[in-house]
Amino acid sequence: MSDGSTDPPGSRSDRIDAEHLVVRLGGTPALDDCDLRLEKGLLHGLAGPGGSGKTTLLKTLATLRFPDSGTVTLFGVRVDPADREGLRSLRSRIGMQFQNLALFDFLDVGGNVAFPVRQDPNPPPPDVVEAEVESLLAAMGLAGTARLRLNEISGGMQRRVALARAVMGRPDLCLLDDPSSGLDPVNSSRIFERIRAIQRERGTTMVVASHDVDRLARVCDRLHVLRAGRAVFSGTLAEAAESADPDVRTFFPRPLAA
Amino acid sequence: MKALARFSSVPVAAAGRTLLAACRVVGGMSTLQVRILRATFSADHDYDETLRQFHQVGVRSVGVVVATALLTGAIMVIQSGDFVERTGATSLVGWAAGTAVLAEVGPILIGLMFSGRVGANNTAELGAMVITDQVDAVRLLGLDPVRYLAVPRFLAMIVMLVLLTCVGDLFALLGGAVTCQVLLQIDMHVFWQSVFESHLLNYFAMGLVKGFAFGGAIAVVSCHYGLAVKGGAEGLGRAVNNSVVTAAIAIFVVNFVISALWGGGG
Repeated sequence: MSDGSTDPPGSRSDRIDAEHLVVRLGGTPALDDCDLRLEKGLLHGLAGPGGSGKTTLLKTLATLRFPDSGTVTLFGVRVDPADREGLRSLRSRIGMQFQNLALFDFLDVGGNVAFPVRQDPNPPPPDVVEAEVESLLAAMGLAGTARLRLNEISGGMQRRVALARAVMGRPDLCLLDDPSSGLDPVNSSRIFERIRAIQRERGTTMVVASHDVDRLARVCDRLHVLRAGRAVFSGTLAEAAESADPDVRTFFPRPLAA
Repeated sequence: MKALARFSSVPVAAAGRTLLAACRVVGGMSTLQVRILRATFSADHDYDETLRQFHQVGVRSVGVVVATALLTGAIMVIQSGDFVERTGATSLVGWAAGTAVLAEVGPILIGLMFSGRVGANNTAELGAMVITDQVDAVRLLGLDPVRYLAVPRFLAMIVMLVLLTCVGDLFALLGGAVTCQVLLQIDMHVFWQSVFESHLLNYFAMGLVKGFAFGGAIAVVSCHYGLAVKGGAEGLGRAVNNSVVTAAIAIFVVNFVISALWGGGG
């Protein structure tokens, strides 16, 4: 990762962006010349119709997919698929909640949440991990569930467990793929409020992809709209409402009260 | 003429596609085998996951192996019963059943049962993990899926299939002894004496080597198909099917190679 594309120390070392990304899935471009710039410490919302490339973009930012062309720069470092150590180092700074949760059913709730730090080469003492897990679970409204198996909790609770795992270990970049999918309006609101609270408390750079655009607009600092694999808008909610692109105005028709 | 040429090229194209697909599978498995071996001999292991696999692979397979072995031993004695009755060579009944059970039929049947139960389950589990992004989650945490997921399964299948072969051998001989007594009216002691006097240790050792090799083959085949799953439930079903068939073929090929190298004298 220490090639010529890496920013000099102190210049733009927090830079997270994607430039001219093209990612093909089975020959079809899921991302097509997609540009995205993420400002540090903000909550970014990612909206767009189904199939517009939101999940592919998140997985590409997470270094789980590599672009056919274009570049991804994370924390000022250009992602190089051939540099395994560099990838490991970058991935250790990223947390992700997957669209279909990707929880490990051979672990209990606490084991799933603790997994990122337990796999660390230098893990914190077990009592510290346990306290962090309990604290996170309590913040998610899941106090006392650490010893339960995944099949003993509801789908909504599993979604919160996945969110807790994504923010465990305090990653610098947190990617959340449809965190409110399948939830009722009350739980959906709660999960967005929790995301906002965690982001504010930790100052983490977060990207939330969701179809729940009303709630997304309420909590996010910046909004990005994807269409056919391309980012067609990046800006604030007020800017979205004034956009010349009718699709953007359809997603975010007017500023909503925070 | 063109139509004839096109028609005649169809089977060639199909054969070419089949050959390419086979090369892809063999290449993929060989690469995975190398990666597993390299990771196995490194010091960095997830012992919790390895122990979990030992339990899942071994302890839960004991019942099916015992049942298979008991019946295998019994069948071997029944098959040799006709010859024994006609010749009166009761002292050979233990040798005949013991040789067949320890060197060939026991390891193969236990291997096939193990492949059907553990190998298929392993492919399904890994495939489901791929489909539900769990393997991506493992990679995102900086872990190598081969090291974290395949190596514990590889170790568990090798160790447990060797141990299960021992258990299976014991129960197969037990099944043979009981069948001798009940169906052939030959005293059980005659059977055991025949077994011990036949110096079957070499056959027993050959069976264990086969168990070791079968375990490795089943692990590599099932992990390969599991980690390579594409598409949803349909892809998973196809992967499990391919895994079971390929593992069975691998068992027979490995068995042939070991038997040929070991020699007819066992």
